[in-house]
Amino acid sequence: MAENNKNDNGIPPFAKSAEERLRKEAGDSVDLNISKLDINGRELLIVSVEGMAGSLLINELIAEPVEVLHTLELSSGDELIDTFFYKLLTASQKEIITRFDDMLSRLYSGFAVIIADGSSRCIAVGAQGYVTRGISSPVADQTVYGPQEAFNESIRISISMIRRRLKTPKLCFEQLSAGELSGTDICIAYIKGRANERSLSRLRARLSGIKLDTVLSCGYIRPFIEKDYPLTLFSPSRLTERPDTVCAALNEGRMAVLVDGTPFCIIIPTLFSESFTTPDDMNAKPIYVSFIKWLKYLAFFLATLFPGLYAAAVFEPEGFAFKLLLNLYSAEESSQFPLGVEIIIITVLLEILREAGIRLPRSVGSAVSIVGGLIIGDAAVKCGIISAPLLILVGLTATASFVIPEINAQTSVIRILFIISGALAGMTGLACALALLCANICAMDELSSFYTEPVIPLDRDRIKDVLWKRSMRSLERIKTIIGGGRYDDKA
Amino acid sequence: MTTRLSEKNSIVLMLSLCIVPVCIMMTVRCDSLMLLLAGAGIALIPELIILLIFVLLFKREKASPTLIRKARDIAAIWVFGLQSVLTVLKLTEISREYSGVFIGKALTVVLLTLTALYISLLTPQAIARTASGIILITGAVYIMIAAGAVKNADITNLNIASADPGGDIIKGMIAGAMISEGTAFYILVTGRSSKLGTGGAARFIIYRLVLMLTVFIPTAAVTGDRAKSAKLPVYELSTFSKGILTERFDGLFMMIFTLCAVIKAGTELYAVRAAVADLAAERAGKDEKA
Repeated sequence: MAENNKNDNGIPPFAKSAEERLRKEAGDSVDLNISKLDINGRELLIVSVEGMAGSLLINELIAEPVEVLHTLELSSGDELIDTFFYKLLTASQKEIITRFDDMLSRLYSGFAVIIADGSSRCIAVGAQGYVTRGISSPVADQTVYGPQEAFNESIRISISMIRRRLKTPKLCFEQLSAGELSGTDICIAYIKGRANERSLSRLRARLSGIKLDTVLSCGYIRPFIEKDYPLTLFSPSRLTERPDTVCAALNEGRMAVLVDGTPFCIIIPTLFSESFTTPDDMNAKPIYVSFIKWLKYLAFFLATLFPGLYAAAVFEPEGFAFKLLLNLYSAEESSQFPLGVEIIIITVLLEILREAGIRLPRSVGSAVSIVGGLIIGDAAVKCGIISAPLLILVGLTATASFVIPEINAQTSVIRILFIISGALAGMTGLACALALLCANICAMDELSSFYTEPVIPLDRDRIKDVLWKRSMRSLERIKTIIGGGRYDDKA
Repeated sequence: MTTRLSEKNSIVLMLSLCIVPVCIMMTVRCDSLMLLLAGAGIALIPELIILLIFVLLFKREKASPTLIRKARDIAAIWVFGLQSVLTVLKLTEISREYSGVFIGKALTVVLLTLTALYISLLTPQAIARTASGIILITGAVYIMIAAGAVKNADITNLNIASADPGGDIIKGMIAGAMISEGTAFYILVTGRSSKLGTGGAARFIIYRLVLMLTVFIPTAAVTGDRAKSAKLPVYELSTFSKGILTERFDGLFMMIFTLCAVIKAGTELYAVRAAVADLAAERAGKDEKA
């Protein structure tokens, strides 16, 4: 479309030729509505796309001015357009357009376009009336005591949900567009004075450089945002569907990217330590939250390193107490496979069952867990494919991994890697894998912040948030932002 | 070479070079671990002096004459290349002693080398952060072990009585000097002497001392006289949970030693890379002029 219009991008001055070109460009699409009016002998076209613009809204915005137009003496098409635009049209979202491709993009964004015979300008009126899903409860980011609102697929509604919570002129929304065909609206949200200017311009450049044909969800643009780290396990950005989480992130100097057509928002940058926090932490007593935080750290250790350590135990049997070693040995005797192979089999089985449970409807999903847990697990032990202690290990590992849903995917991959390295090369292999993981995480420094902050490099103010939960009172005094430093709104 | 690091990162990288030798120093046979420690402490004084000389002499990296830089780079490739090989070999040797079932020299060497190579390819800042992480893990494990072993500790174990006190101190001084393994040279090669400054050099020596004390004193308090008979006395610390779930923690120590060794070898290989890059840049500059 853009190629066709390279040479002639202006709007044809005659209504008939404009209509012909519109139909041609739209491929005679059935959803293109063109309504023709005669204003004192001059043709006026009201163009909209069915389902994108609301017909009631169009009538409400345009009908009355058109009635007035009939009573006026207008000598040219340009005069008609100017009178309509400056004197009669009361819509809050209106603009005069001179380029044909701009007109098409407005049209497909839900605007109604008014073309007058004899003018090479047209008016675009915001009359978006497409059907959107209502605001519902969060599905992935659930809390017990926090707000129960989640974003929906309309970027406008999502923006308003953030604005409603941060009524400050410092909150800025910048709109961009991505996708050659989809022309998806993307919006960067940030708080002026808190978000790092350099990071912001880098983010803008990355989003502007997207050359995809379509952008249908956050997943399409995330690799472009995290441009520097295509091979890292962890991600320097995260997704959320909660407006309150986005507001908290913006308050800390981060940036948010909203994508039209998806109920999720990307927060960038994000830190490793934040994987262990939930929105509910704000609503509970600090002592309880601190306790839970340490439980999560333990769960992360159990979910990632514990199976690998057990696999490496073949190389270090003296590590176990003698009685325990005898028990484990007798259980292992009944199994047909070496310990390492057993752990890999059972862990892969667990991942298959988990994946099956996620994609299936709830009623069938519970059946999968019964099949997996009771039938396969029990039968595998009885057949001698795996030993009974491994079931305890896998049960513990799986439960522990569900405690940290934020990094569930990474936990699964790390676990398998540790198991393989532990089973093949014992503690040396495990240590090498741990060093590689450590290096992999520490190498991430996305948009002026380090992924391992505030532990490495140490930030004395913010390290407390990693070790325990501070009360909201302390936040009155300590106003830190991501990447280190403090902010002062008065400055 | 062109990347400038903060003083803090430079200290971390230098600490990563000496963390394995600090652990291995405990394998030195002596009558009194405290006297050995005192000897290692004395060895820190000449190290500090050398560091300060480098810091003051090479305050401006660009001011150093080409010939000196060239000689320094070639020496760095030789010294650090050799040291990284020695680190890997030493760890392989320890691995054979510690592991219940040894995985084999070749596999150990390959694993360690590949991991160290990966680390050396990162930016110096990323290597410094990785080193910080590994030092943190090591410190946490030693503190946990010390806390667990405290029931076996005895203050009388921290005696300075020795049949040959002078010999123990000299052994300590030699071991302490070996720990340095080119830390002073490292800051010179990677052009960090100007960033480190005299204050940074002093801080590095203090951190080194703290590192030694953290590893040594709990070990000495628990093992006491047995230290001289044990080849690697450190595992005695694991007795805190003996008989319940675990018997010995050799595997855990093996893991910690490996972590420390790969970051040490990685930093050394990075120094080699920096020296090679410096030489190549010099050469490219000459060609351009020609």
